[in-house]
Amino acid sequence: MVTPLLERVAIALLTRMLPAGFRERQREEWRGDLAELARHGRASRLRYVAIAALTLPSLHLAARRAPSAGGGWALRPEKGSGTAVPIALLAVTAGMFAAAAVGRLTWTPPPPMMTAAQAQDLAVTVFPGRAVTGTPEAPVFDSDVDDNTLAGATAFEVAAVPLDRDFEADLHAARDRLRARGWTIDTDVHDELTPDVVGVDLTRDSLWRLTAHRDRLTLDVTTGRYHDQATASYLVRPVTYQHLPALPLLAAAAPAALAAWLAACRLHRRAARRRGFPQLTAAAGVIVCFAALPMTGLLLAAPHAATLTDEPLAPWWYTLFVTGGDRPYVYAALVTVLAIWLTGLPGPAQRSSPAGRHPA
Amino acid sequence: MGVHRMTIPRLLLLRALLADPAAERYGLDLALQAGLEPGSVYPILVAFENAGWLESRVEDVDASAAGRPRRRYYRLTAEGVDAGRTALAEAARKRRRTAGGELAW
Repeated sequence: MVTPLLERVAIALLTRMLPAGFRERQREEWRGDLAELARHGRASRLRYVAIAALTLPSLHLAARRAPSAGGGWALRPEKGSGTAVPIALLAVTAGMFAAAAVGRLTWTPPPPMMTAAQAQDLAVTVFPGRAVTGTPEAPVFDSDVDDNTLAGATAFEVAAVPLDRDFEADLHAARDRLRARGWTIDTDVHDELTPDVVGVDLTRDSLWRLTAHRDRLTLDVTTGRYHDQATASYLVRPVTYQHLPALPLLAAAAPAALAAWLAACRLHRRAARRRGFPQLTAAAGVIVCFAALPMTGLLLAAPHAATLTDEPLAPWWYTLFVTGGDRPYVYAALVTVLAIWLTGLPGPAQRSSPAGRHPA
Repeated sequence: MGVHRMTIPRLLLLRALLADPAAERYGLDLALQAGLEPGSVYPILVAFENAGWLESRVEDVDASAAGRPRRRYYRLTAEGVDAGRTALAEAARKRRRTAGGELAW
């Protein structure tokens, strides 16, 4: 029964390449055969090992379909199980998560658009002699009236604007000063208010606006009154907004989606073969793979990522936020549904009988 | 899956199994009886078992006392007997139709 060292090593290597749950069974088969072939001489045994190696790919394929295999990577869910759609959804979500995480890590905030002196110069040009407040050194992530994010904008506002000012004349004068300072006027002074605006009284109300650009900055100036409030403000933002490079995001999303697909298929197949505790284990695996690990990874990476200006969320909440935007519960719900679904899979006794099947 | 996957080694193994459908045989024994290379039969045996044509069990002996690893014995199921005979008959029919003779393995 003592197998020579070379054959033991060969058998160990061959079994290593089989699905985990099938290895012990096949190792015993091969060892038994080699022991029985001992009387046929060493050449027969080596021939046996060589043939076993040659037929290993087909044995691997067959073993992967064996109920006891429990290993190897399934490329798709089991047929007829109705699980392809949720697994695909999960894979897409994982890809989005990876892209979001890489986007967070590769994000570099836009540089300050102007120095304090340049900001003061602009304030004197647009609204001279008036108190202007703003944040030129820290671009903010603002939203417009339609809730679109105006990323990287710097807002300036005049304090205490009198209701009786000639807003149109103010803006015409500002336009002329801007031109004199080298700004190019993109949209000349015009009134934004129209009769269809709810509650507007055109005999009193007006909102004058102009836009201009110089170098790499755009300028959007508005002033006017609406009901009993007067405003005078302007926004400055880069001409071209800094976008995240698409390639790193795709490079992160594609393998993450593939890995999630394979992992989900593997978990599904393993869980579908057994009931009870293994299914709970698989469900726990889903939570770990798709919730705990990404969250831990992002928390570990957070100190190495550039700081977001005006970051609205705590780091732990941000982990979910990056996956679902302002609806982070989408990702959490997907993970939960998959975990519950895994625990509810039918066991072998409830699955279809093997009658009518053919050897693959 | 159709008969096109019923290769000659598979048919040979089926014929060896059907020689005594009720008997339990282990891998090496089956390979020698079927005239196949020892070591090449396990992919077929596992595929048949996956399809429900075979059932297997590990023999209940003490490996130390027996002086060899415990064997895994295979036996045709009722479904396997029917499917195996059908496969052999189909192969024979095809063979006669194309060559006009008997099966010549």
